Amino acid sequence: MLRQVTFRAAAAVPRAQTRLLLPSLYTTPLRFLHASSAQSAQNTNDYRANREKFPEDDLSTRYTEGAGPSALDKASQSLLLTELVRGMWVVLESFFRPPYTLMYPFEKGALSPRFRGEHALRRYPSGEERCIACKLCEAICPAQAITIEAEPREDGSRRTTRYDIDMTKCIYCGFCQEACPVDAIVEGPNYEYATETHEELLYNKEKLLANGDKWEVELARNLEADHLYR
Amino acid sequence: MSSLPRTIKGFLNLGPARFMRQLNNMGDTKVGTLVGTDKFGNKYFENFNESYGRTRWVEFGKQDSFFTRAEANASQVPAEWHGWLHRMLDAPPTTDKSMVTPKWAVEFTENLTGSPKAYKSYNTTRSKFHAWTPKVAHRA
Amino acid sequence: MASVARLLSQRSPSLLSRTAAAAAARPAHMSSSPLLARSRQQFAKFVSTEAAPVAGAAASHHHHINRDIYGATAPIGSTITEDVEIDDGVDVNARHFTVNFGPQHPAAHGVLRLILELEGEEILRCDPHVGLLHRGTEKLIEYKTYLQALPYFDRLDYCSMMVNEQAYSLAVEKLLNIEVPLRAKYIRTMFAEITRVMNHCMSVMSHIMDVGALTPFLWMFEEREKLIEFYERVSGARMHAAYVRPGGVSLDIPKGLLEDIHIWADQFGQRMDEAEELITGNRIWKGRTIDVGRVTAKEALDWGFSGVMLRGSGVNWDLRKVQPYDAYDLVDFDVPVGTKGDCYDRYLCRMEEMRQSLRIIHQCINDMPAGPVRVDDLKISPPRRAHMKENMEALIHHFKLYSEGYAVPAGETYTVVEAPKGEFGVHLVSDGSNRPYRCKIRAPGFAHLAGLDFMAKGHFIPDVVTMIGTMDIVFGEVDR
Repeated sequence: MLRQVTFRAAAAVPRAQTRLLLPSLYTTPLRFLHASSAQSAQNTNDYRANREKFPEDDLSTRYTEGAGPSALDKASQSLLLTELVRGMWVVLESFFRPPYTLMYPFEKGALSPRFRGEHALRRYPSGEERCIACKLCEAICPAQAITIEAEPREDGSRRTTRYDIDMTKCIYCGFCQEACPVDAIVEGPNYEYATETHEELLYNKEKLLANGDKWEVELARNLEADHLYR
Repeated sequence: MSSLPRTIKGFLNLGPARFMRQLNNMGDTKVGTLVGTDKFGNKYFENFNESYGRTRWVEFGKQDSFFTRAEANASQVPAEWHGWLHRMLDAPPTTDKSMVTPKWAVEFTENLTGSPKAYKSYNTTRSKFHAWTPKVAHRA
Repeated sequence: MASVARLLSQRSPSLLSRTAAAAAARPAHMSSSPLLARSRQQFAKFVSTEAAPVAGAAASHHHHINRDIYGATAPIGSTITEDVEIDDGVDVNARHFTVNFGPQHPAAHGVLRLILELEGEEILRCDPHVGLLHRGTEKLIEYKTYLQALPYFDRLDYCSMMVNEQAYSLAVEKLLNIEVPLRAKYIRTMFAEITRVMNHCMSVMSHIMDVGALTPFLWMFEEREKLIEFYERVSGARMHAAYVRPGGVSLDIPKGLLEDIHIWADQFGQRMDEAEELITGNRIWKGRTIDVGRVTAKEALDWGFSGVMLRGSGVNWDLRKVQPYDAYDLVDFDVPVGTKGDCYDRYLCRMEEMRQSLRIIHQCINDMPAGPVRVDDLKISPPRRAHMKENMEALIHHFKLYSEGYAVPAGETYTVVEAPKGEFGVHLVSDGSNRPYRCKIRAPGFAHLAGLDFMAKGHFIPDVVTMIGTMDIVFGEVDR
């Protein structure tokens, strides 16, 4: 169907004008200067497979005498490399456009407040840790990357003694921060925490709390920016 | 986009030292207004005439030189400036008064992997298993 | 010099004895046919005049190979040569040359391993080996709640993430017998089309890159990067979004995103024009794709092809038209269909599909109503966070949904969507509990890869690369 469209358009060029090389180049609308798909559909890859499977190709109406661009047209387009020149002109145009290259790490890509990066455990403004060991994040985690153990503290409040996230298991789906009823576990905006060893990515509670303390300025901002949607 | 006029303009505006440093780091010369400096000496610049996505950039306090490589590091941007540099926020922390650092906030550290201060995982709970000291009964 | 003398002494029997020696040296079964023997003689003569001008050798002559070119073991001044027997005749019992294509081949799109059986450069048999990226997704899903199973779908076809999620969500919604709000339908449709553009940017352009052109690949990856940023803004992840959920979408679209998508969609047509200007008419591209990997409509149907692989062969079959889901019955678009079923037709179809996707995106932006984005059922969709913090009822629902999940009525469904690669289906069986009893995933790439053998037969090795490109194989979904 696609091919027939181009085919008819090429055939619409009056034959009288395609007799000579120059008039054809001048009068043919520019977009027909492409060697159209119909004209070069001579089996360029004339293998056994195609000849056996598609014997009708040789009898096809696509090669009807007198239809489509004339031989001179074809020859001139083929010899003058019209479609290649047009393509290369586009390449030349884009050569003079400013590149869209960010010189990381001096320039950085845009992030949104919803970005799900490195995990952090947050605290209340008083400095008390938020996590109450309800273990919803552990339950929802599809990769089972979170391990939690809890004990009552000396003051009687329930807190975690172990909050481990295996960052190499984590799939960063964000379900833990959705599940958390007290906004304790969040996925922060930081993604530059690649490490040299696997062990460094087995985060424990202290590391996660330290992350929270480091990034709290931005974590609070991002949660506030997005709170109307949640 | 780096071009000859731009490079010459950069040289005249930046001075030879910064010019060389920028060419060494960014491979480009960028002139902009200094928006602020954080406590690690990282300088933050802005120029809205740059192409989209390149309007804000940082010059790190720790500079790579010819002799010391990999001093500057992408993770050295502290949390206050992180959102501004990533174009998450419009206002830089110098003018944004709503950005409050909590009292218990800790000093920002870069990614310390590979250094002696790198994080090492450890157990935060009491061990559930206690070693059994065998008592050998005296044999008569 | 000694070796040359040896060579001369071996190569100078008389003409008569040479022919006799040739006959004797041949195995018996070869000289059984007189015709064959004659042609062998001629061939031997040809070889002997060309390769050994000293004296015409026999069907098997000696090649002198110096195994010790640095002279490490021999005393200085001497050369050691070794006589190696090489049969120059055409051996009718010769096995075909077998080549391992991949899994480290850069054109093999991930971890494809092909065993190619060649005669010369012509392919006689092409045997795809799958399973190198098998992660047991289907089995894992049986042990997850319905919500937990969702992120696995991002990771199946990791070039069209949200469409996979959509297929799964539609399946769960069908079992739950719920209807998502209209706004959610429009959001899903819009992001499904964004995903389609993203996928085609990747697949078509890497196809072109496999064939040899790098420039359009870079142009389109710039556009793809913008789309990935839209993903990030709406869901928080650049690729594995986990955004489309059973019962709607996870969060509403942030302010300003629709405007940015509109700005992007306005300029994307021009970017496509540029790429097409460079590629579509290009004689190299056409030479590499026209008549390569032709599939008749019957073959495509027989082999279970879907998507562009089917439409390229002239079958007008698009699930978005045939059984519209989400908001596809509310938007207007055309389905491009090819005529010949070769790689070039499929390329044209994909390019046109991207333009049609732009149409759909524009319509979605214009027609998107305000309203909720999740189904209003507290037993299925979690409550808003503000409610959850103030309302005990909502808190209980929140806890139930994020620990136990919701139970889905017993039943089974086979739900399909028109993924960019073809028909992506999820066959979900529920036994009435909170986790699927069975989840069978129908990946379009798997059926296409199975058809590679008949497509590649009779073609040359570089055409296999073209065909893998045109099939748009992603191993996340093929191996599952």
